Amino acid sequence: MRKRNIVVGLLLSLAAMVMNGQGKYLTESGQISFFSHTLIEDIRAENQEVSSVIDASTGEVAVILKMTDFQFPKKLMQEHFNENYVESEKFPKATFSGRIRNNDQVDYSTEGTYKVQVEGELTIHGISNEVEAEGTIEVSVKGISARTKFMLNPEEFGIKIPKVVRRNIAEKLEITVEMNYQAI
Amino acid sequence: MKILRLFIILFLSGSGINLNLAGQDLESLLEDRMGESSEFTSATFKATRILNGHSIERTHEGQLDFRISHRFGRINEGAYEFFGLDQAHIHLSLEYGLKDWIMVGIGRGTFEKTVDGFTKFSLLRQSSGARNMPLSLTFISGVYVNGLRWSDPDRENYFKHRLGFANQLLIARKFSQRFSLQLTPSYLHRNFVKTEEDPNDIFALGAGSRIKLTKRISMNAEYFYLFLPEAEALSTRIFHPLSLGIDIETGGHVFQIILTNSVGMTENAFLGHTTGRWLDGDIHIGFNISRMFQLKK
Repeated sequence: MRKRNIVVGLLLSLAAMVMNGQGKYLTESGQISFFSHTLIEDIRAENQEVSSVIDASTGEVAVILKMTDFQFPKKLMQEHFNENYVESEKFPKATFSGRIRNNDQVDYSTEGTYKVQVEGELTIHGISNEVEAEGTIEVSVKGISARTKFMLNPEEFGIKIPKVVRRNIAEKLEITVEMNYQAI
Repeated sequence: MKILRLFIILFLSGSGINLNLAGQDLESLLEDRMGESSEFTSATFKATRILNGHSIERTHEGQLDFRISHRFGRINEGAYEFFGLDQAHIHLSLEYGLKDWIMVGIGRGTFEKTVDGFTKFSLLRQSSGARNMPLSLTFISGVYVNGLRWSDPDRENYFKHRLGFANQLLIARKFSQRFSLQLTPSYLHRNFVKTEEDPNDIFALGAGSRIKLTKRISMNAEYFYLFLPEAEALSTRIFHPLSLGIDIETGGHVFQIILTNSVGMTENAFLGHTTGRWLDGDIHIGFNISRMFQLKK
């Protein structure tokens, strides 16, 4: 009799797991790059150590990265970026906390590519702004991957661009996000 | 019995829910996974020189630094010499980062028409976080070849008599975003000196600091205390080199505007031949310009 109780209990607990989910997906090697284009020069930097997690059941998304992980082709530029612009010693991390607005349209158990809208709070340089972007989520056997591109104005995050280099740095930076998540 | 059954069922099904929801928000989950990392301190000084002497900083791998330095004549020479600006000593050098931790340089200076070369290694880097290192430690070794014609060509002259060597340990700490300090125990050896009274070896202890005034401007000071037997006993009296300056950084350039009692810009010159005295107004205006080129991506 008791054995049967345990079996029922286990079955229910399994059902509970299946119901909510679609669990969480994690990456610790996501890529985020930014690109600044002006007539004078193009500047690109890439961070390949971005951590992110998606909760498939709720559509919640969190992203965190270290500013010093942005790699520039010119190391001196990297030093200036960290010391003079984003002040990485004071503000070592950038975070995003938000949700997929149309999460119910994403079927995490069926292969395919889904268009999503993401909104949430982006914090860089100690300043938070509400942002939203469109992107895609691709579900495949290997896991899920997410991609998005959006524009960002560094001045909105209190990052001052001095006049002398104003013409070298674009007013809006193009941010490209590419993450390959694994289920946890 | 019924109650017990219900209890077991609820307990087990509950554990299933707990497994997934765990009640932890996503951001703190990521924070926890990231753990504590360690950060290397950057920009203890803005250039590879504090003013005359080397700082712990190196050029990064693949970076070429082209440096142009000038020291003018003495301010106390007055208006006729345009306060020293009518004369100039120069030092030109090309310096390259082989790796982030090792750089080499070659230069040519007006003082004794010297060609110089150096190698600079990083031994320790200041870091904070998981790995805490309070200091940065760099070692530099330089060789200086006097290029003047022999004062007495009839005597037997040896090439080795042209050589001088300097070794320095650079110990620095960036105390805050605004303040960095470096101590520089130094040893200079000259194979050949002017007279018997002049020492072949000079030991010195240097101290240099940087105070950041704005994001791109800092004030630097540098002093070397020379351990000399008796200054008056030398054929030419030499003084402890003291330099004050301002660093201005713009993109790939660093400008340093300097006031110093030394006309030489390399270790053999400022440790061994600083003949100016601040109190007498033997002050030279000077500048260093550093221009970085990224050769390797």
